[in-house]
Amino acid sequence: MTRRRPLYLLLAPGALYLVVFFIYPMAGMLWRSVSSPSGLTLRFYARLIREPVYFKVFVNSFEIALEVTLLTLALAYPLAYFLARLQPRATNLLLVMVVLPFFTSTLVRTYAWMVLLGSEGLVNQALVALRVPGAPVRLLYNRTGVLIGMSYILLPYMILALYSVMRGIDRGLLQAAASVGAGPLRAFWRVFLPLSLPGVAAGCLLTFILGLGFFITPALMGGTRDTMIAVIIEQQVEQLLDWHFASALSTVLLVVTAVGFIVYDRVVGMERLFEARH
Amino acid sequence: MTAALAPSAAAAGAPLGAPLTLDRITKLYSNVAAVREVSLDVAGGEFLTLLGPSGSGKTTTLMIVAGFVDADAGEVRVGGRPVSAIAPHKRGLGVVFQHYALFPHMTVGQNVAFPLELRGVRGGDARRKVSDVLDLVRLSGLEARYPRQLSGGQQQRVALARALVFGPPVLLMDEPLGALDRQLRAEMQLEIKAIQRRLGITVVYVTHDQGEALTMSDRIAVMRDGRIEQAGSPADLYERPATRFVAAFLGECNFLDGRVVYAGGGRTIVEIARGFRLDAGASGVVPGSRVVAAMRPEKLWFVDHDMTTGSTSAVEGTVEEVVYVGDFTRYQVRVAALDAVLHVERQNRGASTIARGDCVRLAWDPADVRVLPPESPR
Repeated sequence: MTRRRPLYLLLAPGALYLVVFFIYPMAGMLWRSVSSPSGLTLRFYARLIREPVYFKVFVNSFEIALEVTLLTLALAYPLAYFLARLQPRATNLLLVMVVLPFFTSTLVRTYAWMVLLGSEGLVNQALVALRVPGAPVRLLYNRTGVLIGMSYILLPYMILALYSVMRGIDRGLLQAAASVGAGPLRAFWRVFLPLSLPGVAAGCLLTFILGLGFFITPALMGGTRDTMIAVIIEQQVEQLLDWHFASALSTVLLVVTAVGFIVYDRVVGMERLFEARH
Repeated sequence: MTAALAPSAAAAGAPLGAPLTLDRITKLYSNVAAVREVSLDVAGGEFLTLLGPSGSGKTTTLMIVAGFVDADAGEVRVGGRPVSAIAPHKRGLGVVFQHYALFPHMTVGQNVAFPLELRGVRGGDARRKVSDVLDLVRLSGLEARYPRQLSGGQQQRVALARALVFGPPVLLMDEPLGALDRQLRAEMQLEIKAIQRRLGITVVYVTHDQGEALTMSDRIAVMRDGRIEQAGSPADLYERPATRFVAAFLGECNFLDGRVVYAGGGRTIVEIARGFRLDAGASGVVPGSRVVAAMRPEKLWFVDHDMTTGSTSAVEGTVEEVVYVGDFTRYQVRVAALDAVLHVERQNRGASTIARGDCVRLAWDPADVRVLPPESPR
């Protein structure tokens, strides 16, 4: 026992860092959300419910996060399936391409999309040149813009979550399915898809939670009707200087996120999130 | 109990299994032949084993029959019908995979019912067939378990049940007992054999375990470097191996290189090192050719020094090693006249009086000496 004790000391730097830069500020945030010069209060939370504009922002945020999640799932599933079926050597290069966007800042990538999607942007120029009816199409400063931008940025998370589970699915199982009479579609539907569900759950949860707190993309590419929680928190802090209300908003976002994780843990198991295989 | 699986025809002894033909099957992997011109005729209801070391092409051959690997040349026929153009899921052959490949998200019952479900068999009919086949593999009552809750041997039985439940005419098995311990293997070998006989199904079985092949097979095809080296009944292969490779792969064997000095009249004389002339049975070789004389360790026996040997041959030697293996003992005897160490096996009946360092006299029947062509380099 005594010989093992020094091992725990290795945790100290990390623990100290978390206490100073994570737990302390978060405690401060919680405290500010329920305190005012006149003592403890719940009026900041009450304001959140009372004023429809804030409630609407929450509903918006959930809608957008959900739509982005479904969109990335639809885009990522076939791609991850393709990657998982490739020879390992070929996969490595393609996986590097998947994570390559992580090396560029979200801000830069969002601006790039704005250049592409603007009314005079590349996409609309092409649509006009091809005489597509209705062109130029409005692709920016509305829900479409937010969905395109956010899906693009969150796609790698979904791909990696799906891929890590799919790679662990024994290809022999698909042969076994074929050997008992299942064609490729049946084998996929009855064997591959069910076994890939932990990856689907992990990817969706990750994408949804990250999407819920998104800031840069909705702030730059969204319209006034697509404001998300993080955007109004920033407004309260930077422009209106109402730190108490900003704290209340942040606390609600935190609680919703935590509930998401707990539900996930109950349904799928948290260890799956960090696990390469099922 | 197994009425659904084994119609009266099988009970009456008429095999259900379809004949299987492999006609000059060739498979190249990046221009190296994994399987070369393999031809085989498997009779309906026959248990045929593809035996060979790893890399000999036996699993590739099996996967070509199953349809998971496309042959580059040649044809596979099941019941006389060419299947090369038929997708694996439409071939209707049962396959038992090396690592079982049970569906982990389905229970035992669901795994076994899956092939029936794909064929539109549902409800009471499906339930009866599942319970019949689980009876057959002695797994009744475990329908609700998941594969991960079963032992290796039980998983093996589920895989077998899943491959049999839809009544395939041919069952393909790829090293199905490879992951089991020795005792369980021996048990499963006999059980699989009994089930095969009962159903009258044609089986192609792949293994690298010669004991397993000898125990289970009606016929064995020994594979080496993508070719069939020799095919025949277990006794055929063991008693009359055609090549040194087959003699060495099935059981143990003493090999003595030499040159034929006389052949004819049911007799062959081979001159071994140091001019020793070894008497052997009939062989198809001509005088002057280089050959290998092969003798099984259990065909050699110890005789008294002063005993006249009659028609048998005998040599003097010194015991170099004695290994007790339980039911028998292995001896290594250095024979100066042959410039060789001969391996001898003797059943243990009563106490052994032969010890290391003893001078002994070894005898054998010339008819038990096989004259084989020298190994051709490949």
